[in-house]
Amino acid sequence: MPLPTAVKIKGIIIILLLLVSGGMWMFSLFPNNKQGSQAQPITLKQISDLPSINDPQASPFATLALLPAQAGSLIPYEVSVGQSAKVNIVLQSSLAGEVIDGVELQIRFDPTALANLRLEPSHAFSSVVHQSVRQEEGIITLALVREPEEVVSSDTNIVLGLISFTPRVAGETTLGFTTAATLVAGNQGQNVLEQTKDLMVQIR
Amino acid sequence: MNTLTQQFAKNAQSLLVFAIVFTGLITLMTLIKTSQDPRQQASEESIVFTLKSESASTLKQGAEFALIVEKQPSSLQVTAADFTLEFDPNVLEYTKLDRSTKPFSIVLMEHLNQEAGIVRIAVGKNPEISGISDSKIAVIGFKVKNTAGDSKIKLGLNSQVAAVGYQTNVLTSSSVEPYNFTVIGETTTPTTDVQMNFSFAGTPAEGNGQFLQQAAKSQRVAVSLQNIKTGEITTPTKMTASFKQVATSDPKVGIFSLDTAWKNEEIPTGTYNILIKGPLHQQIRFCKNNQTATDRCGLIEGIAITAQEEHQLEFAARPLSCGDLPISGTNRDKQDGIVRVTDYSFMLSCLGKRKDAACVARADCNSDGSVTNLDMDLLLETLSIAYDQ
Repeated sequence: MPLPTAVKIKGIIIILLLLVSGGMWMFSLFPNNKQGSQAQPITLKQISDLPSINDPQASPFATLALLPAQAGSLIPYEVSVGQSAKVNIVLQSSLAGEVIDGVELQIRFDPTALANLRLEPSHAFSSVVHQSVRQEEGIITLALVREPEEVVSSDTNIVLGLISFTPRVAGETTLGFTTAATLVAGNQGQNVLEQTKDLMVQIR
Repeated sequence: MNTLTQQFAKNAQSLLVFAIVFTGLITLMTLIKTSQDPRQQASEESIVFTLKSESASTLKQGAEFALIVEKQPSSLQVTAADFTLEFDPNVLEYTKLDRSTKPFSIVLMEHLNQEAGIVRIAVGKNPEISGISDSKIAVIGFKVKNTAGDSKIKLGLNSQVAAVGYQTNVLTSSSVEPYNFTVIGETTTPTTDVQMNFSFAGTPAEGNGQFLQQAAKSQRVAVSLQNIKTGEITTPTKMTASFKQVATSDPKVGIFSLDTAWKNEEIPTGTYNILIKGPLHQQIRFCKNNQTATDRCGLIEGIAITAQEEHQLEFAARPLSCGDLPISGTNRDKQDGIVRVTDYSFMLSCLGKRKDAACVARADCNSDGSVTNLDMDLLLETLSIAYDQ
């Protein structure tokens, strides 16, 4: 015997009521459907007054190293008192094909251990902005930039300059970069210098 | 089967009846809780006055200000208000009641007892003016006397307000916050004023003012003073300077002048270096008035500044050098204080996109609207001497 229509309607209403109640109950238990997942921190980006530079942050890839100029020399670099010695300032790279726009560096040495310091920039960059040797202070500075039409690429080791000196007294000394005053510029004005490698000199 | 079906239907009906009864009960309770006699509700909430002023809460001696009395909520239909204001008679002098305050422009009473610091005011609504829901009741003028310190104006507890449909006072005086203010002495501390003219290297291009972009005619510079004797440097003050004219002599640079003179109340008389830094420029130390590009500053050389006097200095003959571009920091919009090959590298990258907004904003040293070899020359010139400094 089929159910009367009124009973059917009442049944449907009751089911609907149950569904709505159940839904509300579930909603009250889990108001946030993302509950349980890790809340994401909100990062506020500081707004700049200047238009942004459409350029990602470059990963440093360049190394500046001081290496004995004579091929096959060991490190520490062994030299003799009174005998002229030569060290190359070398730009190395872990990435090939990157354009280097310029280099500025400062090297410190012990003026009581090394004499007659001379710096001879190479032609790797066509423009030498600055070069100086301050013997008494023990400071060598060099700044090189490329001309706009020139291409200086990081494909190979680039010799930036040659330092020559004469050891004064036996012992151990270091030719080292001042990191705060040393950088390699590329990628729209960024410092792409990754590390510097100083040179230990043993004077016999 | 039929019996079971009928039994189910009966149960469903019972549940439905229960749900309806339950819903009804909840609704009834909600109604009992929220639906009250409107008059009772009004009486409980009543109205509250707010005392405020459009003047700053720090007032100078001799200043005049207007105290505004407002009612909250503004929807309650107030017809008249009779209230007193209490103030410190040593601090304030009552001046006047603004009789044009609508709609309460009928003044029923204005009684002042200056010695006691009490003024009683009664105002009524002008019947010809609608807008009864206006929140403003009265505007009262006061003058600050020569007594510095914190003070306040508060509403008297006997204040009353009549409203439409109410036979009793609807004002809750006790909850009215007083209007607090501070009186300070007249600024008598004179300042040391330094006004200066200066220029930017290569700006405008070719010494022609027409090449100077309109936006570049106003430049932000940082100015600070370094006391030669103590070495103390005042915090750099960011100031705006405006283009005045092109210099008649070489170099033909644009002369900029501070929009307002650099002012300082504390700087002592002494000999100073004046440090100026432009937005795309190296900071330059000026040690003498009318300093030129070839002048060198000795260690103890400086400009005599006398405290609490005005000084006019001319630095245009030694233009601020292009360099230290704002390319540092997370957003690459900060200057790092040094001219380096990274500045050159950035400018180099801009030569291929001369009109790019990011480039022009950071590397257009001569402000001609594009980054060109002219800018590069200016930067190289700075770079070549930067290492010697």
